[in-house]
This record gives sequence, C-alpha cells and structure tokens, in this order.
Amino acid sequence: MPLFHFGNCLALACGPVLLTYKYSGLAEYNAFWKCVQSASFYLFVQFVKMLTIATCFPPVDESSAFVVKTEFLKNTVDILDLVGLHFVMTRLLGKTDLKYLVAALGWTSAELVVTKFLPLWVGARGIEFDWKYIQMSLDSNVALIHHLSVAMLIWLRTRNDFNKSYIPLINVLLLLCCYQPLIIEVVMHALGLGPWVYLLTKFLFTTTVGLTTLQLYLTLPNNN
Amino acid sequence: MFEINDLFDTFLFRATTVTGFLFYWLPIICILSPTYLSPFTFVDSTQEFKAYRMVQYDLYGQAYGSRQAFVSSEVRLWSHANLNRKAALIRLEKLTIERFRSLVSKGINGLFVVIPSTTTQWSDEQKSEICDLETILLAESVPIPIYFLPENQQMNDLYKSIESRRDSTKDSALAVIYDMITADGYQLSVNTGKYNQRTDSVLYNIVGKLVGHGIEERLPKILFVTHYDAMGLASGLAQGADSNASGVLILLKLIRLFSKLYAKQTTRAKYNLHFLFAAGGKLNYQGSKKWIDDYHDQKQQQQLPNDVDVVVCLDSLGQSNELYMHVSKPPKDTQTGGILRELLTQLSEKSTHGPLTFEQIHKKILKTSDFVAWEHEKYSWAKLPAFTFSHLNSSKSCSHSSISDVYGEVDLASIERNYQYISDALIRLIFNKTDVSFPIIDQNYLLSDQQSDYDQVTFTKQWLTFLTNYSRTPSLLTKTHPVVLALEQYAHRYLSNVVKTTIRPNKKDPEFVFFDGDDDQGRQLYVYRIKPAIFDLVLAIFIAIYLGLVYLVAAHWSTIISVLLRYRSYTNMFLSPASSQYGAYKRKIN
Repeated sequence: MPLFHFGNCLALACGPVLLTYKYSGLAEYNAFWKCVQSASFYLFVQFVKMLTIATCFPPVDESSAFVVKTEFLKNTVDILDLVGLHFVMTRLLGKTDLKYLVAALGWTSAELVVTKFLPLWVGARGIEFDWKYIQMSLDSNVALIHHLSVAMLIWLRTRNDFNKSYIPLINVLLLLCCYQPLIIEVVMHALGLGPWVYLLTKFLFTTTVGLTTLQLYLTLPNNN
Repeated sequence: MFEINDLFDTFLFRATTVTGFLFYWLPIICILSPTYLSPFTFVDSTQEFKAYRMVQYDLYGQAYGSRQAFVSSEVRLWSHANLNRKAALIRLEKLTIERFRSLVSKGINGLFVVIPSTTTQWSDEQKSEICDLETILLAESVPIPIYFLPENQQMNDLYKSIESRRDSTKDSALAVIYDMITADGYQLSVNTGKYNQRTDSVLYNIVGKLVGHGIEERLPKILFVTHYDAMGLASGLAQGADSNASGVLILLKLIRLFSKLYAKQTTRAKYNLHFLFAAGGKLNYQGSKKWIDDYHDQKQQQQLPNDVDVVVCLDSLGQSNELYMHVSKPPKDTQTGGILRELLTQLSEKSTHGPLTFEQIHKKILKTSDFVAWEHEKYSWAKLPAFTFSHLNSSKSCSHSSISDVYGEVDLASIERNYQYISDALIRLIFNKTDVSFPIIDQNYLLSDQQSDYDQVTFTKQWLTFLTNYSRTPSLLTKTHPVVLALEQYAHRYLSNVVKTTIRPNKKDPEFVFFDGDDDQGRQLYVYRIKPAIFDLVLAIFIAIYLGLVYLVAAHWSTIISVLLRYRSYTNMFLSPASSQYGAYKRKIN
C-alpha cells in the first residue's frame, strides 16, 4: 500500500518536529509566525549559498568520484548557514524567549519541506519499496537535533553571561557541525559501509555535539 | 448536542493550526489526488527485461495461442504452494506439459518462461524440451498470457532471488510470520496489454516469371514455390532458419541462375519458369491456395487447359545430406516429376556434388481435414502435379515450427549441396539432356558473373543472416516488413512481370485473423520489489512507538534537565581543566 507507506515516512519525518513544537511550551508563546519567519529566512540563505557555489567555485563535473577538496570548499559555504541563524536570532526574533528553539524549529521545518517532501511524495508512493525513504525520514530527525545544537551554540556564543573561557570550545563545535557532512562522508568512503551505518554515525555525531552543547547550556548562571 | 456552530468551529480550527493542517488537510489532499493525475508518474522500478509474448492467431475460426496479454501481479516460483491469481516463473527445462496444465489449474494469471538466449544455438536437450511444448501448445488456445524471457545474467539473478524466498510450509511459525511480514515480493508488470483483433490481417505473395524460348502461351510451365514465413511459440522469436529461410535461399539462388541463363536467346529453354514466394506457409499454405485459386480463375476465363508441367516446392533444405521428394501420387517416369526423380537418383548415386541420399516418399493426402502436411498437397488437390523437396522425412517434425530454429541450425554446406543437385537436375530437364554421364554445366560460365565460389558463399551467408534477423511470423509480415520489401526488390531485379498479390481473408468467414500486439522487438517487463501489506502496518506501529518516545522526551524535558544538572559536577570535571588552562594561558599573555 504505497500511500500508507508515504504516510508512514511523513509521520516519521514531521512527527518529532511537531511534538517538539507542541510540548516544549512554544505554543503558549505564540511563536508560530516567528517560526515561519525563520523558515523563510532559511530559504533565502539557501538561495544565497547556491549563488555563491555557482559563482565562486569551478564547475564540478558530474562524476561520482568523491573529491575531498571540492566537498571541503562546498562545506565552507555552510558557514553562511551559521551567519543566517545568527541573523535570525538577533534581528528577526529580538526579544523572544527560547529564541534558539524557535529559530531551530523554523529552520528544520523549512529544510524538511524543501528537501524531503518531494522525494517522499514521488518515491514513497511508487509500487517499489525501498528502505531509503525511511532512512530519509530518520535523517530529517537527526537534522532536527543538529539544528537545535547549532542554534543553541550560536545563541550561547552571543550571550553576555556565558563563561568566556568556553568560547573556543564553542567555535570548535560549530566548525564540527559545519563540516559534519564532509567528515562523515570521508569516514564512510574509507570504511565502505552501508546506508544504515551512515545514519547511525550521523546520529552518534549529532548526539555527541548535542550533549556537549547541553552541558554548555547548563553552565549558564540561570540554571544553577 | 452537535450544533452547526461547533461543527464550523471545529473544521476551521483544524485548518488553521500547524498540526491541524498537517494531520487533517494534507492526508485529505494525499488521498484525494488521483495517482494517475500526478505529474510524476514515471515508472520507478529496479529492473527491466525484454519479454516475448506467445503467438496468437485464429485459423479457420479456431483460436490458437495465448488469448490474454496484460499482466500486473506478484510473481512466485512455479513450485510455490499458493499460486492463485499470481504469476508463475519457471525455467524451460522444468516446464513439461503436465506441469503446465497443473499450473493453469492452480489458477495462475500469467506464466513467464525463461528460455535460452536466442542468439546462440540451442542444445539438443533444450530443443527437444521446447519441441514438446510447441507441438501441443501451438495446437490449442491458452487462456492466460504467456511470456518468454531470454536468459541473461540479470534474469538469472532475479530467478535466484525469487527462488530463495523461503517456502512457507516448511519453517517454524515465528519464521513464517517474520517471512510473511518482511520478505521482498516481486511484482511483474508488462507495459502494454493490447491483443485486439486486427482489422487488416493481410498476407503478401510475390510472384515473377521468366519467359522461355518461343511463344509464351504454347510453352509448358514450371512453378517454383517456397513459403517465406516462419512459426514458433513466441511470435517475436520465430527466426525459422531451416524452415523456411533455407527454402527461400535456394529459391533466390535458382532465380539468379535461371535469370542468367534466360538472359540470352541462345541459352533460353523451352519452358516458362514461374517463381512464387508464398505467404502464410505456416497457416496451412494460404499463399499457395491463393495462387491456385487465381490460376484456376484465369484458366476458366480463358477457357484453356492447365499448362503447369510440375510444381516444385522447397521446404527445409538446410541440414543433413538427405534429400526427400515428397509426393502425394508418384509421377510416372514420363512425366516431368518422374524425369526429375530419375535424374536426381542417378546424380546422387554418382555423388556428383557430394554425398547425398535421395529418396521419394509417397504420402497420400488426407481428405478428412483442411490441414495439409506439405505445400505440394495443395497443388495435388487442385490436380496440378507437384512435389516437395525437403531434408525432413516427415512434416510432423517439430523443428518445422520452432523458436529453436535459429541461424546456427543451418549448415551452409548442405544448402550449397542441395542447391547444386537440384539445379543440376533442373537444367538437364529443361534442356532435355537427361543423360547424366555428360557434364553439361560449365561452372565457370555460370559463375563468371558472380566472380567466384566465395561470392556464392557470401551471398548465402548474407541472405541467411538477413532473413533470420527478423521474426517472420505471418502476422508480422506487413507491407513494410524488411523481408517482404527485400524479396520484392530481388524479384524485380531478376524476373519479369513481378506481381505482389495481397491476400485478404473472407469478410464473413475469415480464414485467418491476426491480433494486435505482436512484436518482434519484445515488450518491456518491469519488475518491482514490493513488501507485503502487513509490513506497512508493522512499520506504522514501530513509528508510533518511536513518536511516543519522542513525545515523552519533549514533554518531560525539564525533568531531564534537572537530572543532568545533578550530574553537572562530573561534567565540570571534564570541562574545567581545559578552560582553566586556557584561562591561565590568556593571563600569561596579558
């Protein structure tokens, strides 16, 4: 039943985002439109990134050979992502509480809609069954954790009451997040493992960064 | 209790929140949008194969062949216990007639047979297997679609993976349930399902002549006939190399030979030679029948007696060193047929062109049935003296209409030898030099135009390759078929008065009917991997559990934070050395 499978994948992909939205208390803050603003800014940042890649980098030939140098350069453009998130949190959201949560949720849902909906709609409804659609949905869950950690890191970095000696750690973590796709691809190519292990690695990586971020968050004086 | 206001509010409310949108409208959109209207209906499949459909035609009102074409169902191996409304996949060596009948009775809705690749010669075992099937299946009508899949590496892999699905009657209950839920199924689907009756079933006869020395109307006629179509179990795979491309080949060479002889007045014989490429040979010789009918009409109109001395039919001359002359009434020694028989007997005894066993076989015509065994029987029935040359000693031989009759089946040396003997006998006949001790044929003269022996062989090879390149099932031989065009062109080049006669079946009681969907390129067969329906449900349960866990984490976030705070002391141990060193470093610099 292909439509059912599509529903499954959709639920798997959107479920955590929606649950996070509802049960982290954001609904009381009327933050829905702020999320939408964050989402539209995501689209804008993606557009700028595409332009940058198209103009600044030499044309990539479509061979499937994995060249580390071009991938490295492409991931450097992801720094624009960080700049975008920062901009969202400082300018657009202003005085909102839990603005990192709002920004991250908006970012994730935009990414979900743009990168996952279409493949799922087209592919998961076909007669053919493939595990990759479930993997795509799980991947978007991992992306949620990832964006949450990045947003929190950026928010922490800009706070005044944050312990300054932790800032280099934050920088390292942010860089790691930025180059996370590259690192994981290299590991995968070196060891030649399958898609499920890829997903697992991504999950472990993101959770590690997430937990570290959480620890840093807990060092804030408010939470003591 | 349920007021209109409440209902209205509920509906609107559900549409305006995020959750409302996603859980209410989106599923509705998904369900209501018809899949066939979606712009993304490309075929998403893992594998494509070429499949050839079983032949289908009607002859004298009787249906033959497979009557259905559309298949889109799950496929199981032939040995599976439950095959009702599934398609069965089987290898040729495992398929016998009894097994076929038992599969049909189990209720399958399609049969896929893996056959050896048709580009290479088949082994004797494979030939006999397909023969058994063809002799029976070609004579009856089959209600399910049957497709033949040439074997290649991809096909073998697919077969193995279907075979490896565990047979559910043997394992423990848990394994059975696990298998039922998670195992891959394969869905086969063929893209077109057309099999309607064609409104324009036609056949084409090509006939030409060479006029002899003297007044045309007073000279006796010799007619050379060969049917140029072929038949096999799969309509796209009937190459028919021995039967009857070999016959066509010999006729082509005879045309070339006699055309050269008749080019000059001095070497023209006192016979009119007619050459007929007859269509519908495998459909009970419809082409010959048409020629006979036309001939009789003409003779009746002009009130002239029959002037055909003999009809020479050529059928399957591409193998072995035996040559048989099949007759329905042995000709007297003074008749033309008898003279040819005598000549060939003497020539073969002398082995002038190589070892040959020559024999006459006498078979009476069965007047009980419309179906005749050999082509000459049609002429004999119409009181025209006729015989058939063939290396087969019985027309019931199954290689007469088999898809295993591929290019490799023909022995070029045999064709050459048969041609030499036949042409030798014919030349002696028409020039009335029946004493075989005189070699009257100067090979150099005959070959001078064609340069050399090598050219003869190339001619044979090229034409044979050309003829076997296309499937020559009668329904495929339309006006634009390359073989039909080529034969017409050849006839125009060497003969005079070339006529292409169209044979159309009777309107009220058609002798033959063809069906749409015959294809010599094969159809595309798509194979999808699918999971059983229960699998989706199980997956949904797992996803629900997963979402439940996420809900727990999200709803009790504060509890988790407080737990982590309690263990903050441990984490401080890890973080502070690094930060204190950094702090110390900074102070040092400052």
